[in-house]
Amino acid sequence: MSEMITEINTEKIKMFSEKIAKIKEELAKDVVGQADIIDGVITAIISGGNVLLEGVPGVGKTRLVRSLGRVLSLPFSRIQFTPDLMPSDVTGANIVEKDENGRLETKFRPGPIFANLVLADEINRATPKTQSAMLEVMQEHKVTVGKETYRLDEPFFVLATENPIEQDGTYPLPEAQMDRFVFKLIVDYPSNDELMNIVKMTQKTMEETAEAVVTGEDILEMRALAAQVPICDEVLYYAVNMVSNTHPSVENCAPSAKKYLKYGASPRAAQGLVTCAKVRALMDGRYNVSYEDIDALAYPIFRHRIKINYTAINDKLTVDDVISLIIKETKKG
Amino acid sequence: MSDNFSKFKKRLQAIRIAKSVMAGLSMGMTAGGGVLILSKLAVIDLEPIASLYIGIGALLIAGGFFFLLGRKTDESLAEELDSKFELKARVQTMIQYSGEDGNMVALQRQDADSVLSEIPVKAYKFKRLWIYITALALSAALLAGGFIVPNMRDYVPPEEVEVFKLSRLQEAGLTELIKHVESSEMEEEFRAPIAAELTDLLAKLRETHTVPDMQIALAETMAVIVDITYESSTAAEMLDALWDTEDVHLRYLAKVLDTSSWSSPDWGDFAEKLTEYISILMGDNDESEDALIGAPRLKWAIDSMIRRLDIALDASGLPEDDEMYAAVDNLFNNQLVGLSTMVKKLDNMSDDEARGALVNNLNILSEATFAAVSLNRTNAIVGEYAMTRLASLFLVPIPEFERPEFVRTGESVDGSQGSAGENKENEGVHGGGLGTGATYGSDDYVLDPITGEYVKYGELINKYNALMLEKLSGDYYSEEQKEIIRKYFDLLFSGIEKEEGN
Repeated sequence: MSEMITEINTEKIKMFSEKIAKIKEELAKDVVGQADIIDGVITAIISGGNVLLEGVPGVGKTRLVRSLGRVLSLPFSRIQFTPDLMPSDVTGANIVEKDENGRLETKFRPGPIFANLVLADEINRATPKTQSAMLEVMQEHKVTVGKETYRLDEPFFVLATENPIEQDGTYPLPEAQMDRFVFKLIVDYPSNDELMNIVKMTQKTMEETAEAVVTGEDILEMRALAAQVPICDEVLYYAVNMVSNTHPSVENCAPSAKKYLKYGASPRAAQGLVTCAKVRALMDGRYNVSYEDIDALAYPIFRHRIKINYTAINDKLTVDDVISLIIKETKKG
Repeated sequence: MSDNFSKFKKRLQAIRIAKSVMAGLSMGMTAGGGVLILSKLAVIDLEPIASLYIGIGALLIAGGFFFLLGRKTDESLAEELDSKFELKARVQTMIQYSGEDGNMVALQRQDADSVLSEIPVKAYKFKRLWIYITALALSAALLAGGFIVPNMRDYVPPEEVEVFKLSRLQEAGLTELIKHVESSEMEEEFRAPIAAELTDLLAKLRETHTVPDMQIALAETMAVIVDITYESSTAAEMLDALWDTEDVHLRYLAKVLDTSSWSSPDWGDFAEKLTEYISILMGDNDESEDALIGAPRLKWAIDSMIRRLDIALDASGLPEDDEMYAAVDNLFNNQLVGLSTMVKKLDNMSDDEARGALVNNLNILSEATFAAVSLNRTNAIVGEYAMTRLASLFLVPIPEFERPEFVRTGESVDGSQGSAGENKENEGVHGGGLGTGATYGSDDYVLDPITGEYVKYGELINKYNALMLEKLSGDYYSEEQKEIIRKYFDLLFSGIEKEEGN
């Protein structure tokens, strides 16, 4: 990434927002509502992170990723995770084939993971072994089969879904894997108006109609641009302090963390928070990260990285409620 | 540095200066006004001008402190601007990256500057201005109050004068004193003026309303009584004159006439001294070989005395009608029985005849002589009584005065100082009493100024004690005063107890 665009073109900086607007515009053709989800997904893609989507079936998770692939002109693949899915079913495997001369040779057949945009559907249905196969891919963007390592094309983005309803026969993702997702976004059930629009739209056609407006290279360029967005020390300290405040074991942590959390967010949360805040600022037409960016991104960043305890459950507090309290207490401090 | 940011910096600086000035002025006026008020009210020991220096000092210190306190770095100003105008950390980022190059940073700088340019500088307000204005107004009011408050430093409060009102007890006591003096044995020429003076004092005290005036009136009266008493006591002049003749026998006569040991006319003492005088004149105890004794001795003595007598009488300075003068003059110059008449006949007398004639002579004239010395003594006693009574009634000290006393009591007639033993008769032997004056026992006779009679001291002191107890039963005297009076009487009684113990 660092050897890519090093000289930032001022025009391109200014065009960043226009591109984002175009992406959103196209996505809106196929996905009704879900503006926050779209923003989150776009932010994650540009920042180079992966997204975990939680929502009931039929709310448009697959459609969103498929449309996104079209808009970004990126190859898309969908992996439906089931308990019998093997790691090689995801990453690919070496197979023995006859060559043109009839001799047997070993060839690597890439799995569905070899795409730019991958939808890992119901990832929590896969076995831990298969889930762990995703770890290397998501973190390092490469696959190792046997002795060979195969790099994935950039930009590479995994959008995983979790079905909160069917918890039987699922394997909750371990914290290490959860930490690989930069965001966890909650897809809510559409409102009546949104549902009406969905039905109207899909009555016409079920096909995605969004058109490509940016390329993968554009995404990489935008990523490089966003990385250049300055963040002042006070805001950086604010972000880091917020992450520290989620740890109940830290001496001066937020009182709510001490009271309601079992454990807090990892350093990846701080990295993701700052990276995504830069993207968000640029998407908002600003050229610096603000406190509001950090506050807004705290929810998708921390949601899957912290664990509430029984006290929170007893007090009928959700994870987001605890995150709100921590944000307030960080501001006060 | 962004121009727009610089504008806010200047605005901040202006506000900072304004705050410092207002705070300094407020503190200065508060301190100055406070010190001025306290100084003028004499609460603190500082001249009013000190408030100026203190005010200026407070102004400078407070102003300087607020100026330093209001100091803001660019970063803190940027943070304040971002927060106040919801600039989303634009200014802070701009300040932090102000020295860096790069298109993104440049764009950010432009963006921040552009946003700042849309904010009027005056939107950056003087926070809590109303507090500074209120403080300024209050401090100005305090300072104004300092000028308005009158200067009490030069104010001398009127001296609190103790009020005096002649009490009924005092009036009755003074009236009684006047009666005692009028009915006393004091010579009329002295008694009347003293009584008149006391009557005037009574009238004056009825119109006196302050203690100082009362004390002045009493001091004036006492001074008059002292003068009169002094004037009435002529014995000392006479005896000094006799002593100064240096004639041994005239000196012996002076000792005979000396009443300084008397607290009351003491005929026994006088008679004893006369008897001794006769022996001296007759030379009874002169054992020297060539000594004259008997009639010749008496003749020699009288001749010697007569030669110096006129000198003594002149030297006394007393008028001829003074009792002492007349008594001494009569003793020698009475045509019928005077010593000068007798001396002419001594050549033809035997020793016994001479003694007998001398005794007759002295006995006849001793009454007048005794009366003269008694009168002198009475005059002195009445005068002293009047002053003592005044002192006790009005609780003022008795003025010190030199009582005319014959001070050669302790001297020997031949010019040497007498021994302490010679003075024993004059010291009193009973002990007790106060001071160094003469003391007397319970059986000694003293003049009762109330009745004018001579009574035993023991009876008199009891009578006075009863009077004292009656007077102290009321509320006129304070407890402290009563205690002093009781102690005085205790000491007097302690003398009597000693005597009884002996």
